[in-house]
Amino acid sequence: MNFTYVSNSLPLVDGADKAAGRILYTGDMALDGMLHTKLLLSPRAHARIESINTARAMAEPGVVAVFTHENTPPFLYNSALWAEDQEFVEDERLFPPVVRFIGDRVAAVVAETAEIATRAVEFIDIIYQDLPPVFDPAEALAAPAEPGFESPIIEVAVEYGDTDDGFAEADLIVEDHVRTPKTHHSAMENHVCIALPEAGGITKILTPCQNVFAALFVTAKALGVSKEELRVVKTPVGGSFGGKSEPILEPLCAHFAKITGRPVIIELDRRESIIATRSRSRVFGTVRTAVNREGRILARDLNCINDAGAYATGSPLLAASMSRRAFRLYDIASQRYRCRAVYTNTPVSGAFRGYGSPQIHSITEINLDHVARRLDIDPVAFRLKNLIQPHADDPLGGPSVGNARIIDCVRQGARAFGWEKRRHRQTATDRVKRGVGMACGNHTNGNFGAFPEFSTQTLRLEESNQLVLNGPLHDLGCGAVTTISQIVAEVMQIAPDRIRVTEGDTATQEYDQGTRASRVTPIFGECARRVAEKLRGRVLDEAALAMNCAASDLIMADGLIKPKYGPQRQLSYGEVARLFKQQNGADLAETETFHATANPGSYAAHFVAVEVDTLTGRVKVLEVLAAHDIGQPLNRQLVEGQVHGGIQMGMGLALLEDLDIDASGATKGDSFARYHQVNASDMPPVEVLLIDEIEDSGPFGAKALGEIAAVPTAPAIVNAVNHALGTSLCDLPLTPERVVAAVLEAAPPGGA
Amino acid sequence: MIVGSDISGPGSMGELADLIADHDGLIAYIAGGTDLIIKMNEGWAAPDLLIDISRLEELSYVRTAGDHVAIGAATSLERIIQDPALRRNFGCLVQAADQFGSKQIQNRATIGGNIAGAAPGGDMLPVLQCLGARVSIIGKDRTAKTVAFEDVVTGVGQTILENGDLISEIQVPFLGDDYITGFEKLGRRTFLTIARLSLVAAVKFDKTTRTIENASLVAGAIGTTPLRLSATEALLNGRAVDHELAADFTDMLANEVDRAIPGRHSQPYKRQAIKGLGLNMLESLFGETFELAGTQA
Repeated sequence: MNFTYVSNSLPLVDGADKAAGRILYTGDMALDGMLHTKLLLSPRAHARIESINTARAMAEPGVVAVFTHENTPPFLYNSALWAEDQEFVEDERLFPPVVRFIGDRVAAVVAETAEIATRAVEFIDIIYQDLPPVFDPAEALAAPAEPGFESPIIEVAVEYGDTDDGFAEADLIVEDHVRTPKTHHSAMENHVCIALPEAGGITKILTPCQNVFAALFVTAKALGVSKEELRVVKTPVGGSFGGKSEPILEPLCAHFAKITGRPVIIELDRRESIIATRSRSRVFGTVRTAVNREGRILARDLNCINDAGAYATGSPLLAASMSRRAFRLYDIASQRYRCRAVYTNTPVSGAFRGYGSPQIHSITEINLDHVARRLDIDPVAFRLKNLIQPHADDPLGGPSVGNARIIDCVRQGARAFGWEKRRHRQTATDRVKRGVGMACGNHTNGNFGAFPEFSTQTLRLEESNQLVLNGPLHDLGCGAVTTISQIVAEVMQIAPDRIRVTEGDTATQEYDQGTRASRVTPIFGECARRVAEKLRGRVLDEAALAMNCAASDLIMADGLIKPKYGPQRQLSYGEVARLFKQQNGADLAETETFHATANPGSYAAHFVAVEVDTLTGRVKVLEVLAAHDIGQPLNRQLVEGQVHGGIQMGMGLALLEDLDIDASGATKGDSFARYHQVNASDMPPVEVLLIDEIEDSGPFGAKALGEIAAVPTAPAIVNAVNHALGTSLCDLPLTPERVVAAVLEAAPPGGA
Repeated sequence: MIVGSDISGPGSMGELADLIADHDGLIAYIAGGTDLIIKMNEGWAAPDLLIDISRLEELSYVRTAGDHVAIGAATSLERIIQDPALRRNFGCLVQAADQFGSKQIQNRATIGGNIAGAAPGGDMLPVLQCLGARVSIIGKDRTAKTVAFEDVVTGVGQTILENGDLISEIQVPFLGDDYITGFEKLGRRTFLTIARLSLVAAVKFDKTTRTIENASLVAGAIGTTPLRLSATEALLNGRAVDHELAADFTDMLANEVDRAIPGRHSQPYKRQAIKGLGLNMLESLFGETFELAGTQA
């Protein structure tokens, strides 16, 4: 298709302002009379607070209030709530009387300055009574638990077909035990929130969040107040990746502002963001795959333990999400899936780019390479025998997979990567081994099929020739405002910089799920396209009246309307709006509610080449080719950026990143000196290959990309390392220690 | 946030001497601040008086002085990297500075600060020990003394420096023309990474017989302070550089790790990894790539 604005590499609309430091992030905001907060985080992994004495802290000059479990609302809530009717296990409160992990909230000091708060927090006297902790998710099921914290939190068990039959017919069954680590989102902006009292008894919350409505519901529940007493406004987000999806600071901040009657800021430092917000859940997966000699997968059995950490949060949703990902990638006659979420006394799990996809696809894709090895079939050829076809039905009766082009991703990706030749190439030296690996993945396009999925937006044409799209968009820094502008611009045929897109504000907008489940492009974007189509029709009708011709004879281009032929007259959009207002006393505006009726998958295959130093255990990723099926790309440059960023995260999951909980329950990786991410010097060349297909249900044929980009990289790297070494490494991340141990196991000292 | 410290920026060494002589409280010197500011922010350091020496030209220099090169304590790593005399004579020092933190950190961090910080992963420390460097220290009572570097760092973050002591200069003795040096580092990443293991060598090498005549070898980040690998030095002396040497050398390195950190969690890994660093070192020093025969163990 030929587009005027869509698909162009339009720079981020706020990019220049960000680069120049003109964006005011929440931590930059200094409100009159604003108080500062320091949280006291638990140094104990599991303990009852016997006594807590705040007198010495309160006596410090400049301290305004000290909050503990004794003087704050005791209402239980679940921070994963994002729709009012959701019923989750409610086990969290502002400050618990029993702390459940090193990093749990014990108290907060609110003071005139951050320095005073930081000093005074040391003067809170606490006596803890230790309780037995559990750190290993595999032990959690059998361990004694405090009432209300029994494991499993939830058990999801689904099956289609007859799995036992499939295993009975198998020529080969391959079983693996794969472990994925707890990881940190590492957004540049740490968690931060401001709350302030407003007229009418309203507490206003300013927060860099993924959903103002979730913040509203959770805060109301935690404080025991009505939603009418709260207003939540999204502020610019300095990165989130799911980390700011669940409200964490918002309930605390709102309560502190309400009690003190002054604006209050809570700003975490990096250690606090790592241990006391949310992390990617650790998953222990056992996978058994049954195949016949020809390489067809007959059945698969998945059994996962999902380490929720100290609180349940969204673990039921994650367990269900992982099953949907596992069931929509390969055409397998029968599959059984079981996932139990368990409590441990470790940092809390939550949403994180991919929402279970990186975990479940690491488990299954590493296993598939082991199956291929045992069958002596090339991993690409093996996958091509089994991958899902376009428009396949969902095996559990959910929405169709849509125009799913994973087979094209694998075929075209393998060709562009030179898979055939490289897979058989000899290794570099005795010491340095080279290998190539690949993996597939899929992710969702919104929540349709699991939850009602809709968006409501209003588009207004201004007399200044500007269009204002009012809808609760939540740009996390990855360019949602830019792409939504491009969609509206394409329909209206006006430059994207003439479009202003608002972001989340509970006071002026209708409910929306915010940025989650890769829904922004397919759901919010499609709603934006439809409301723009509606307004376009209105503008054409009004222009036709004014110009005394048929609407079908008019063309819209670059903000101007003119007849296709005939006298050279033209009206700007703004003039049409002015005429309409004169005649009707109203703005030219349209509102649209879009209800999704599809949930296609976004698919990807990543191909990687690695070099492994068998002595130092260092893995160097030499090259990545990322083949993606995202339908019509809306902005090629942003697509490339998303994929590069996703690969950086996937490399971290495969090789470096781990909160690394020690025997006392402390997070060893609690700073960027000890929590290592891949940095620029270790980023390989990346080639992005987009499959030239469109998805009919998406805006201009587009599908989601943000999360799938981070999915196949980790298993592809593990598969490449296992190819290089002839090992079966399954424990992520592949630290140098683990690699060296595997090398020694394969060729013990003194062995042949 | 720097709370509760007085901050002073003396304009000369004379002013500085007066300042510290009169002060009774805890003194800290700040030059690059890449370590100290973090320590202060996290509450690990809380000096009463913080003295900014970053603008004292008298502490920032590299100059040849007879049998050694003298480096002012507040000389940045970047300046060390760029210095022609150091590049010519002390390759290992420049290589270590070049792999130190990030370019931004190299621009700020100083050689004296790396010594005073005494971190087990401090990249300068094994280099200075290997090269037999000496350190000049000015005391509160205006006395000056010069001590061997290996006597300065005594533990993790521990040195012989007493309150008010200022490292003023590092002296690195010339090695002679037939010496070659090298630095190899292993971290989690290639750059911007804390050393988990490093190896520094300075060897006197006869090019015609391809024989090592005298070796100085020090490992970093194994224990709490740099570790001189005496047994490996003895093994190298008088040996021709060949495959047999490579095998013996790497075996001996692994033995030294076993002796240094027996039973430590990291021992099985580091005894292998040091072989890799050893082979890298041979390649860097002698331009020859060696493989270990048969298995990599």
